[in-house]
Amino acid sequence: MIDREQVHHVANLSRLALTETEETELTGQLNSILDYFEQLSELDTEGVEPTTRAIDVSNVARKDELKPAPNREEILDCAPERDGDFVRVPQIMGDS
Amino acid sequence: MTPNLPGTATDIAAAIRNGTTTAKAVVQATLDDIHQRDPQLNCFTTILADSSLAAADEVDRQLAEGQPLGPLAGVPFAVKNLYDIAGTTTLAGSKINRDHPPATQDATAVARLKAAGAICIGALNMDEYAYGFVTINEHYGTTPNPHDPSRISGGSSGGSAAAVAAGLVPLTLGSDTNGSIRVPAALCGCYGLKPTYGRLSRAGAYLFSSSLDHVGPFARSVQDLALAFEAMQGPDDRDPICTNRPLANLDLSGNLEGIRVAVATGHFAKGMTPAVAQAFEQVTTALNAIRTVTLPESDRARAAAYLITASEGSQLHLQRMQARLQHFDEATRDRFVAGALIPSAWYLKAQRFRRWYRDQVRELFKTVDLILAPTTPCQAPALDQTTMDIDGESVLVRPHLGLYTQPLSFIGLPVISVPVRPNHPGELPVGVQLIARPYDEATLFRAAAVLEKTGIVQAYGGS
Repeated sequence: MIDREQVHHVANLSRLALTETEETELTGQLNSILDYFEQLSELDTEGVEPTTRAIDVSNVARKDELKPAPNREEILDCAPERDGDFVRVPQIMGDS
Repeated sequence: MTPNLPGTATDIAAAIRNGTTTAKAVVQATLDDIHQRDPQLNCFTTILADSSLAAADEVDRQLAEGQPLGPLAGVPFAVKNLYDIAGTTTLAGSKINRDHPPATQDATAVARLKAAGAICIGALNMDEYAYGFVTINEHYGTTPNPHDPSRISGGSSGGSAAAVAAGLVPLTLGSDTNGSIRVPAALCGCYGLKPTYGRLSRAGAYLFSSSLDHVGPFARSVQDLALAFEAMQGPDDRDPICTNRPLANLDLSGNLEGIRVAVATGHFAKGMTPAVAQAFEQVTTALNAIRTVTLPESDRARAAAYLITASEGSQLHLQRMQARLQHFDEATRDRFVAGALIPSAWYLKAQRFRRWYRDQVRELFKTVDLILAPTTPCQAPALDQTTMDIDGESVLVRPHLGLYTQPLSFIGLPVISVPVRPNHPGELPVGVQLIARPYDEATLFRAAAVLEKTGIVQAYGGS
């Protein structure tokens, strides 16, 4: 069983501002959702890899492989702003 | 139907091509009809009079100059208001998104229909952020069932189904996460296609639950549904989920030879009204479906679909909930908030189950090619109806509408909901799902064409 305190706690973590009445209503709803979860728990799927989509989609990105770049200048030219052999980035620390 | 216009996209395109009418006359008649009837039907949230008339002039000019025309040249269409239409703000049924700037380009599906010559007339009502089965929207009003305004049209693509069923336009687009194309198609009595997950590009469509969202068309004939699907299919660089598999090759000749047809039992054979059971039997008899199959644990598939939908939908909207919760539709607000509180372990459990269930169903498709199940357990409920009695048990109407649709979209299977022709005048429509293995839309269309030829299925109110 989930109680209102738990709902209040998770809502806070999610930065959701709820009234006490809303928290009470949501406690009932979350307990219904807990029922769904328990329905799934009755079936052993522990060794099964989770799916990320209704149908598997192969990764469209190429393999992430480490290899030397042929042209240093080409890489530096990709930067939005460069300064000689350096890439300029916005300041993220204060002056002091 | 719009007065003086053919009822289907195919016939409208033919009439324009052979000079019986012009694209301008078709679009003007459509706009006049919407102006007259939509105040009651409440399907449209945006009407694009100027741009659609200009597009019609362009089709007429191309025809006059002897240029080649697309298969849908001059055919009016409209889209659920979660599709981007360049120059128009994409509402996704919400008040919050009204503050967004207009879309800078058309959604791929819209662009492809236009490339086939179709003319976009406007955008259609829906449940807020596609979370619902009713199209009762706090911000844009209710889209009632065009056959009985005291009843729901279904949702969340209710405007899309109702606009086709009422004959305001012959073609529309919707989206389906748990049944949002199939449920309103069934309740309004038209055809609705939810293709395989990833078959049609979702680029420029405002998502709800990314791992479950599909886009697809509504139409009044199998031929029209096929024309729309064929115009939209194909890979798309704008959508990494869109498949680059070979295109589906459709055959509408009415031949089902070699197709093993089975009726879904278990979960899909329980909880329906007698009217639905009777209509379903007409279809199973017509297709000579003597086999049966059981999709195991389909009730748990519904539970898992709920968990995934609520979790993904809430994550998508979390920032909006943090900043503008009071601007959400009261009908969706609680469910979105509840979804945001779901622990990740529950979501993972549902994702594990999804693989298990998918593998079980994949095995079934080694012995059958086409599975039949009802689309909804009942005909269109009343607008204010909250419960209904089925098998002597009182159940909540709204969640129950997805009883038979949710377990199928959960694993991305392609489905057409076909409208069963009522046996008596005044009877409300019933839909039946034709279900195939992933990427086998061709089998769905073959079966739909057979059923349409027998006259057992027919767009409601059609001739």
